[in-house]
Amino acid sequence: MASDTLLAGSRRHPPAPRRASRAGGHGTAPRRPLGRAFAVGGLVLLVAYAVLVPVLLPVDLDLVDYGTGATGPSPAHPFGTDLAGRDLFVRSAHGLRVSLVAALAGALGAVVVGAVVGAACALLGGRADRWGMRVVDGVNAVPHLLLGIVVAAALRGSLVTIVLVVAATHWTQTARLVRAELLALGAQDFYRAAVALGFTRRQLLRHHAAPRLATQLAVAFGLLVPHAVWHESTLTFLGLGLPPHQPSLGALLDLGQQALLSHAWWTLAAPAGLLVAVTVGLAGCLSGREGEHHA
Amino acid sequence: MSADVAVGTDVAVGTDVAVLDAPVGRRTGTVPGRGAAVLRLVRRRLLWTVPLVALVSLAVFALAAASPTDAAAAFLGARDEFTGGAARERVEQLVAGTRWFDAWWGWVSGMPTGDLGVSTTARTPVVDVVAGRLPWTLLLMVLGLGVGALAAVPLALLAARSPRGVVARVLTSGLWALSAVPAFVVAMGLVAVLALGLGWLPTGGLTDPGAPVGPGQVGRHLVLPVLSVALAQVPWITLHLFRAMTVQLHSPATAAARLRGVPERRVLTRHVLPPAAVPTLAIAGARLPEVVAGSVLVEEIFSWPGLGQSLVAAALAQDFALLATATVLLTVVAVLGGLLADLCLVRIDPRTDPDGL
Repeated sequence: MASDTLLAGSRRHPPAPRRASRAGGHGTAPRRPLGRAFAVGGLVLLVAYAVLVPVLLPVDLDLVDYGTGATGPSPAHPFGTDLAGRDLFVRSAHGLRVSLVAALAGALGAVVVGAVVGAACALLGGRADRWGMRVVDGVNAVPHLLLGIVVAAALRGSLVTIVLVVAATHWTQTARLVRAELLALGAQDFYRAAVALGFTRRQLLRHHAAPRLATQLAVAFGLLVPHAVWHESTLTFLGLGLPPHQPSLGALLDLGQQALLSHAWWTLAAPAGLLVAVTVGLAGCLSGREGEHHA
Repeated sequence: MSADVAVGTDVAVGTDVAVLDAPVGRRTGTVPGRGAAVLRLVRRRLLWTVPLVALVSLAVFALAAASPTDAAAAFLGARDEFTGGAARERVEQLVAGTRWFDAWWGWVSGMPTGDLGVSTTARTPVVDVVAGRLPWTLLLMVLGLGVGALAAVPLALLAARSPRGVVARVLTSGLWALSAVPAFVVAMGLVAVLALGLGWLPTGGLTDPGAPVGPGQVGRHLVLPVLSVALAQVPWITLHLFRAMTVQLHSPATAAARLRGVPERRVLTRHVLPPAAVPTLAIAGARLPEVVAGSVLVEEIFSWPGLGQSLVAAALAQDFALLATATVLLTVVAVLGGLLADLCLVRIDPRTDPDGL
């Protein structure tokens, strides 16, 4: 049963594209090195923008000036101003920073919860493992956004809620990964030899399990971050995430949608462009490692 | 997974004919016991939805109880400001005296009779809300997924004509970038360009204000939402299909077909596409929850009167009776869709073992 779920899980997923393209000698592999450098560079720029602009250009975020309201991009306001006359270049930087913090914390939480559950399943085995994997299947069957909406509705939007939502809905992939990895390790001859030689559980964990899991967890974390950015902006956009006065990407997109009807396209373009750039940049950095960027 | 897929009748290269599976896409005979296995699959999945529904609804009710908001106000909904004095006190006592577990049990035990509580946002029984809205949601999802799949096939064929060519590269990078754009940003982009910029299509709603619901009106209002859902599906379907096709292009069966002088177009459509569709379909089942989530957002942006929109409204107003029902129903839609995808898989690929799905 246990191995059945494992196999069923892996059968549903496509062969990793790198492997597939290598086997066929085709695919998009040739453009990857350049693409990766481009992605890393772009990401560094974006993070620098999110970190430095709020420091270098201290502006009162809540200061409303309808005199300069809804002006398009200009040298004074590179991203234009929103309907209430607030500079979007600075507001977007604040928003990006909030979104990135929420996403990083959420992804970290998801990886930690997943690692604990996955390790518990693999180490306890038997009934605990079966039930644990059933819970994983159950959580996976519910669309993540729905779970997020329910949690956000009950707990009321805040940064902590967003982090909780992302962690609560995305730990399952990591749990599966860690469990599979540990089970595979347990079947290896060198590991059995180490057990037979009487190494303590702590030694086994430190010298055999931890190094194997570390890279896997790092990749899982990296793949979760863009998805977590997406979750924050989606929930906030729906009005369930961060409060509107806190300029996250989702809140800016929400205002942008309203402003769109008065043809102020740049109020939507600035946060949407940043959101896409961050997602593409993060996914691009990791594309060579794991390929698949669904979650 | 698809590396060993080979069209049995076409294997003629070399002396060792290793793979002699039944041909893909055509059925030569029935596997004994397969019907029973399919029934077992259906029964297993349907039985699995029971604990799933129980757990999801239990979670919603437990979270509702843990919510820091005023439960009495949430219960009263829009009537909150007009209820005072003794009536208000009674409501507060009632709410305080009901444990969340009892509330959940009340919701579950009302299910067979169709009594799922009253929605405080819609101010009608939850059943009526669902009956009026679920068909529109299903229409949007089915059309969106269908249009997406139909658009993906020619794109994948186009790329597979020369997998290393410029067209294939531009197409895969473009689709890859598109897959990174959140569905609601795509939807808003469509509104900005096609509805507001060019004024070709309405920005939202089911009909023009005051117009009766008819095929013409609904059809016009359906274009942009369907396009938004479809655009979210096109990238992953095309990329998976293309990937499976590049593997298939190097199969002995394809080489044999080319050697026999089968025209390239026919090689692609008859020898490469059908076996490549099998792994893509297998992934489609697992992707359905995301289709459901995407349609919730699209409904919200286009004010489409579906279940997703009332789900968001219920969440914003702490309307937990409707929230629980909508969450459970959309989850069931995703699970049943996955079952449907697996049944298609069993139907088109005789090698699939229904007991292993």
